[in-house]
Amino acid sequence: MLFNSLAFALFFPIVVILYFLCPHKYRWILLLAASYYFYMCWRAEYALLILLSTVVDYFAAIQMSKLPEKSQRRKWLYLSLLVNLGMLFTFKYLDFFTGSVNSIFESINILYHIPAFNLLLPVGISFYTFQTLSYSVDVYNGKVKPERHFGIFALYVSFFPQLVAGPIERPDRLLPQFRKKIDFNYERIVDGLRMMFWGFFMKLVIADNAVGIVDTVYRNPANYDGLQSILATFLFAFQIFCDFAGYSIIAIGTAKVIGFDLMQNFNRPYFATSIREFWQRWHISLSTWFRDYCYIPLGGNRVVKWRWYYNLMVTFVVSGLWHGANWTFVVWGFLHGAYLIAAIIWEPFADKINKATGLSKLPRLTRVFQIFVTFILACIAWVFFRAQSVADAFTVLGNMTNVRWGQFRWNLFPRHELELKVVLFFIALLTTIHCFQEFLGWRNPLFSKHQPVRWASYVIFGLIILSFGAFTSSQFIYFRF
Amino acid sequence: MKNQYLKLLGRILLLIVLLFIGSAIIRKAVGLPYGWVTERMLAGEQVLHRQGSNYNAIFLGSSRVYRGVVPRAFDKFVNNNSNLKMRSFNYGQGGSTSGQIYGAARSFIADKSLDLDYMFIELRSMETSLWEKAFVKNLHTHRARIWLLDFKALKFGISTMWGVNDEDWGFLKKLRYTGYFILKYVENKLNVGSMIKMWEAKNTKPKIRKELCEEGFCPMDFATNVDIKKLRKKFLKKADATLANNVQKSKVFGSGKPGYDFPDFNEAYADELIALIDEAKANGIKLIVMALPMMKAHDYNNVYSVFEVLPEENKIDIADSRSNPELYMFDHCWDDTHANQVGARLLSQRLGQRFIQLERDKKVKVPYYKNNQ
Repeated sequence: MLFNSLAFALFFPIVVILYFLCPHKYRWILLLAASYYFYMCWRAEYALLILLSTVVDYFAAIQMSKLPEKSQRRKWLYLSLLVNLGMLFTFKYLDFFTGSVNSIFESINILYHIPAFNLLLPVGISFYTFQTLSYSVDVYNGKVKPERHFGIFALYVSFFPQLVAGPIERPDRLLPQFRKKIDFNYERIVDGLRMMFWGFFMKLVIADNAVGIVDTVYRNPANYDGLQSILATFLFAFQIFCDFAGYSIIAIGTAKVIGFDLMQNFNRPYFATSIREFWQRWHISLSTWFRDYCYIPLGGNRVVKWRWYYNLMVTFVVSGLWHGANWTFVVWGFLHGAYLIAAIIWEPFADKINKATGLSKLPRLTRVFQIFVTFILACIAWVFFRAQSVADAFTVLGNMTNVRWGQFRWNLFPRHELELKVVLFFIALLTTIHCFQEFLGWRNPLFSKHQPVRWASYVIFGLIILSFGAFTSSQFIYFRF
Repeated sequence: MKNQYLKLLGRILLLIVLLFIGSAIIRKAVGLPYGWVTERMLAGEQVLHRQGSNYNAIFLGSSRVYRGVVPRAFDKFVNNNSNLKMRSFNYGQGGSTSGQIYGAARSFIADKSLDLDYMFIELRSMETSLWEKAFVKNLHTHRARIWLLDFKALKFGISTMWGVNDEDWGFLKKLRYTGYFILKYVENKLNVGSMIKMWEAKNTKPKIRKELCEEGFCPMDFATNVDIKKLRKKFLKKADATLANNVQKSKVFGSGKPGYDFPDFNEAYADELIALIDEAKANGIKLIVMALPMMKAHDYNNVYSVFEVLPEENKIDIADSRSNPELYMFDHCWDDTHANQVGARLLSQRLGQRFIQLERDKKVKVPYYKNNQ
């Protein structure tokens, strides 16, 4: 079920009403049933995979808790890793793997072709497997105690607001919340609804209206010039941000209405002054997951320099691969790893240059410049993320080197002229609001303390969503990861 | 606690009311009645509003009208053979559903800038508004929004749908479609997702000559659309059998088969059409329902009974192959549904002939079902 569907518009109020009517001790049953229904609306049989992951991790954790030594617990951790990563590999990477092997065979003249399996990728598999893995690893490390209530644990794995696209929650944050008694709280519910409202604005008005132009260019990049390629990439940067941040905000708002606090997943990432800061603001739940379960176990930065760089690169390449089974994602991850390593190497020189040029005396200007450079670097990486192949990505980048700015006109994309105006206008509006929040510490107008401002914002943004939103029930981009 | 519930409910309701009011203001300010339009509709509206007084008759219907009625041929025939002075315009739209035709008819009846004396509407099965694909294909999903503009249209949609007497149409299915109509109506009222389309429509300069050809008639023969060419290819493979089947259907169902007991009679649809005829009459327009040749089986099954009960002075029947064999001949057909260019001129003359007869014989007959009440 999509958040931006009629089905959800009916499903959610029913769940909320039943939730507050239901006695506390039975609420987990309601939420579990709602969560499985939410997932099964997409494809019922794939709920079995969630169930398998739940059963294996539940029993593995119980078994681990009975064993005092890590070495004894290890086999149960391996079981959990094998099942979750095995599922992920089978459904997400098998065809990518066989395709790559076939290419190697072809290049060395081996006439053997492994057939493609063409398995349908289960929605959200990367998210819930990572969530359950974090539980198994935390139990293994003795960080959390195993959840003995199977129903509550099943709910932790399948909790519908964040089931298909995160935020990827940690057991020590989410599990205790299922036991907490939650009363009807007007302020909290309204806060949650406001967040959902804002998420829908980002998704329906900006992300979904940018799709047409972005898809047009990236489907046949060779047919478009530099200006069109730059514009499409700029729009994609906002499309993916508004799509995913929009989803996360709706998810957090949805959970808040029924009394749960999910972690913040985005914090105005395009205001980051470095790629390192970008990753502290973008998809926070995933980047912290990789930090805690991949980067730090590899040794983090407490190792010799080359090993530190290696750890960074491995973490980002794996993170790229997590996003999709395609070499474009690998290159995207590699680029981000390379950016970070370059920044570490560059750091001492940057300080010297800032002092020598006097830029250190102009911190605001420096900050704006850094934000700009970081955004450009992120956009270059987005080209690989969005392109259908590495070759296509290089075509787009090649186009971008040949730009005639004077040729800008509104009908650069004749079939999407109005969409271009609308999207750019609302991107400007969003960026202005974010600027006020970032630099002046203002609140989002929907959350203003002044009632007239708040209500005017409700009506204005409500009308914008209704009138300019693209109501085609398009999927959220991150569902496919 | 109860107060908090009520407070939340009150605030949500207040916001909904404000959004409805705001949407109505926006709609009025933008000044377009529809949430979705075709370039042909835009071209038609532009011509009608620029030169509306040039026309005193309009043809409404699906592609059978759009591709099959030649206003100039019709006018010429009527004007040469009677003292009537016809200047007609073809506003047929490909794939129009019964609801869309109803909506267009009501909007033209209400349009005081036009000086219409006659309105010809195609007899279409109510089921055309209820195709399953209406839920899948964008075209038809949006089309329901063209005509669900007010309560009367909503009532038309819901009542005629509940009036469908078919074993495939069970209670739950009808309930689902009721929800669908209400949803489209609310979407209309809230301008859901329509602003970009509205603006695009407002800024579109339709290619009038291409879209309207001869007073709105564009023959299938010159269509460049790939799908239309496919239809022709498909038809040519089994032309004889298809035409024979069409002839047979028209013989079985057409022209008020004696003793036919109307098992699928949709009384609500009949009532709505009669109300539409009355509404037109009250506005000085004579509304005439046309049964055109080569109807689909569902058209015959669901609405021929309705056609039978309409006032005689408000209907023209040229569907029957016995009285109009030439309209079912291979040389006059493009495919199993549409006339070709030659067939369209013949069809228009035949319409003109029946229209003259109708205007000469103004004796009003009592509709069949009113007799039975």
